[in-house]
Amino acid sequence: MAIHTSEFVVSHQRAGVRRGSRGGVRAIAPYLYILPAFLPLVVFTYWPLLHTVQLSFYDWNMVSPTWREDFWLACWNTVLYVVGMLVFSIVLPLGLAILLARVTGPLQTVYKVILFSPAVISFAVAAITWLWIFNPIDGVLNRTLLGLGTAGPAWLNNPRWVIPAILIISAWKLLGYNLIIFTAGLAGIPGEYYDAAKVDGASAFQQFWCISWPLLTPTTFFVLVTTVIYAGQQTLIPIQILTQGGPNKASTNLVYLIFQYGFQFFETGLASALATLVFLLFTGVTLLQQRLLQRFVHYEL
Amino acid sequence: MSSKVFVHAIMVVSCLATIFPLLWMVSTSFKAPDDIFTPVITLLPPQPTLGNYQKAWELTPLGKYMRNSALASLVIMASQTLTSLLAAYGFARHRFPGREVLFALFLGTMIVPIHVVMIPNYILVSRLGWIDTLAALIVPQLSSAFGVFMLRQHLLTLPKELFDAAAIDGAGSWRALWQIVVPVIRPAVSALAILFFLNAWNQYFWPLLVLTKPEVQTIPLGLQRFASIEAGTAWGPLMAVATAASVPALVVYLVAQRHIISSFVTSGLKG
Amino acid sequence: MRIRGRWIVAVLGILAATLAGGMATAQTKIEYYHINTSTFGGPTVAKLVKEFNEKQKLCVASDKFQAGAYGGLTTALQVAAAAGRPPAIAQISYRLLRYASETFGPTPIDRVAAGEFQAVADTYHPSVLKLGQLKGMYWGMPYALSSPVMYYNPDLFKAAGLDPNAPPKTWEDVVRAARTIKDKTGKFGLYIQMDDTWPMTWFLYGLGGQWLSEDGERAQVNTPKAIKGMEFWASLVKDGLHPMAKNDEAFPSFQASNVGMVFTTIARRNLFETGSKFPVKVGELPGFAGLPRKVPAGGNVLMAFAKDSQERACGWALIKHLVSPQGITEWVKGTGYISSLKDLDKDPRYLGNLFAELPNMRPAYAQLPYVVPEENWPKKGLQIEQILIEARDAILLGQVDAKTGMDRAQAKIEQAMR
Repeated sequence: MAIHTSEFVVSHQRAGVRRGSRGGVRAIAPYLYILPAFLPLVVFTYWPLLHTVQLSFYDWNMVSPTWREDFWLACWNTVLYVVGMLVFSIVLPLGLAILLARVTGPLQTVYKVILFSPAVISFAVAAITWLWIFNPIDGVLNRTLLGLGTAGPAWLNNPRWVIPAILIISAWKLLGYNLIIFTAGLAGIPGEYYDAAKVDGASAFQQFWCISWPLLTPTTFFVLVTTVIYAGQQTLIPIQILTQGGPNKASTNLVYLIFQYGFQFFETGLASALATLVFLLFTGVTLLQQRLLQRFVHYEL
Repeated sequence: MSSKVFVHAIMVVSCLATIFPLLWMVSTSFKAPDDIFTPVITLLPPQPTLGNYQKAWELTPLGKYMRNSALASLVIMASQTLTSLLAAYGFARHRFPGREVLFALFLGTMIVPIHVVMIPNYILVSRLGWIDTLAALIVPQLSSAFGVFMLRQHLLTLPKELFDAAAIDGAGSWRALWQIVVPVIRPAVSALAILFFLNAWNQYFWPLLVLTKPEVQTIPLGLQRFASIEAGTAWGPLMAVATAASVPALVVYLVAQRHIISSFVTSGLKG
Repeated sequence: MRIRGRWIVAVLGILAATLAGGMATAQTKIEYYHINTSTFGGPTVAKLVKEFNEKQKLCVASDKFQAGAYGGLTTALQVAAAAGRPPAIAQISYRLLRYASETFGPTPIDRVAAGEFQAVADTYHPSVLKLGQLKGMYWGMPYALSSPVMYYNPDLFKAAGLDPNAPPKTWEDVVRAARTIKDKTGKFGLYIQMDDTWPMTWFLYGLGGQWLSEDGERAQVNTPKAIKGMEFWASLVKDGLHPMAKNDEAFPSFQASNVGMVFTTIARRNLFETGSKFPVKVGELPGFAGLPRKVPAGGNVLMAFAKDSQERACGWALIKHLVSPQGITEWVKGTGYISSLKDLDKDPRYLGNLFAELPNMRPAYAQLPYVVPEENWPKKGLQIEQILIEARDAILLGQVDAKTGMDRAQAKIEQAMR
């Protein structure tokens, strides 16, 4: 059922070649489409990045055992953040998007608006209100848990619970974004497929597994990649505001380490080296993801 | 029927859990200073007051913050949406030498944390004489790799018959974009535009560096004026600014999301 | 031809004269980086700068608020210095005096002030003036001054059967009071601020120790006194008297009557007083029984970073305005800091009414004779602070004992300083 895009592109191009006219324009047209988006990225991302890479060559000899310990811990924690975030930010919004699709009438809008609302407010404010919820002394969460008969942990002050706590805040903030993207993806699936399936007597689960899931794969792929990046980068804000990497480094990660060395200790060279490394690492992971997942992604019908 | 109840039950629980922190933000903004932290947590302000808003209004140029935020966010949104659409179309519907490499370069920029490029960018912007102007905020963000990536994914899902029909009509690639592609992917484009707007609206790190005068600052920077590490945070006014900052963003979403729903309907007919 | 030539000369002459005149009347623009938020001195800074701009014609100063306290200000300074546009003056924390003086190349303040330094210096508390001094050089004019105090909840004291008018005077008494509060009311007895290394220094100095070797060049954070200080703090957590929490968690809980005493800067007085249902009371920072009291000061100096002599002169003129008796009076009223100048609190023109209006300020002034400067790390101070914070976490969490924790910190600090 799925045909890879390139087939279409090839046939499209062949048609162009056959007609033979405007071949020159056609050849540069794609580049013209890309140029306006590319230019700002070159000037404000790649140029400074090169500068950073250049800086990073100065300071490798400063790498101390302390730094190495920080680095490996940050790597491990980054993995925890990414894996945790994938669970929170794919399963939850996809499930809600599917349920949301079954709600009709004005309630759907109400639900959608409420579920999206965390995405609207600034992350700094979000972090602060969650600080009150997680308060180990008299926060809402631990009072509720106490009412249910268990004592809650000290959340942001407990080395074992601090990453889950930050993940909860980040997933809460990201829920609306991913929900919107999954909802748009689901809405793009033509209703006739479901009608046909219903005629065949397929259950709700079968409809999801045989129609929604495969046809959603480009969307899922997109969410997967952005969530990995989000987990790597955006967790910086709650970490910086709430824990500063603590207690005792338990919540640090690679991007926070860059921030710490670059903007707290002013070890620009070391921070740049780390930034370069992180950039390469994430590019590698993303490319790998793309290669692996491309096989399972169903484009076109 | 019971499955309907189940769906609504889950929705209601999720919504309550989602909105609680926001309700707390709003409720705190209407509380008197000595009602914010009390032995018993109350969501309804015992003695509601506008004092925090008054204080925020007196101590910071809230109106100017709002205007600057709106202006910068709208320009960034428009530019990012347009450039993303063009580039995504270029990547998804054309074949050309270097396509994979260029796309990887686009993806790569999403991975670069802002802190990595902040100092060189600051120096560049400062040499251009843009410090304390909205240009410093807007120009570095005229395009977005995230947008290119998202729209490309959407374009790849479009049925090829659409384009075959266009080719038969003899439509060039530029006309096909506006006459065929744009009407079909309008929901995705609107959704993306909202994300861009909200993202620009809530930006914090970069504006903090390049906008140092209150006349040109944006609203998230106003929050910092109430968060003193040394003397403690003035939670009431802080939450008033936060609430005020959230309202326009929420309105934009409410208005635009209707548009998305109607777009879904039209695109559904064409699918 | 000749006539034309003359014309040109004349026009050029007029032009040159205009330009020169323009230069002579052109005002020097300077920037002042500060950390004062809208509810903590921001309006006062704006007012003082406005007064300065109105009372003279040569300089135009603008105040630049920097978010994120001294860390944020240092980041901004770093970025501005990299772009070649440092501010003329900035507030620098006492703890960053050495770091800032070695990193950003400021001009020593007595050199900036030229002949006017001594007259201004004479108005200061002698112990406070020393806070701007490092190795015999005056790097900055001491400005903000705070000291750690004890805030307590008299209602909880009463409920626990303690006398709210006789707050504990020594750490030993504090522990006893905290235990009584915990036993009688079930609330946490006390909380000591945890956002920086300041309390580690209170304990160390209170026990008669110091962080650095005699010559000030080597760190020794694992001395028996440093370890004893951390053991003391850890015992409070272990006994359940002190919660593991952040400042922004524990302070609200104190305001909600769920913690009996908190130990933090006097600068928080206003927010605690206005944000609590009970009448917050303040006591002096305790010492250890039988040992001499030492209270490490907090706050900042005004440091001059301008490279241009004109700007530097304007920077000093602004500093003079800010630290004048009138300026300090405004500053103290607008922020809740302690006055750096001597005897303002006895002069009815300035702060004569202070204690009548704000009785909780009295303990902060009463402990001024015990104020001492904090040691400045010889280098890598920012990393060292972080290493100590991590050591504190590990020790208070019970991951390691105090000796192991401080030994490890010492090893890391030696590595960092190499």
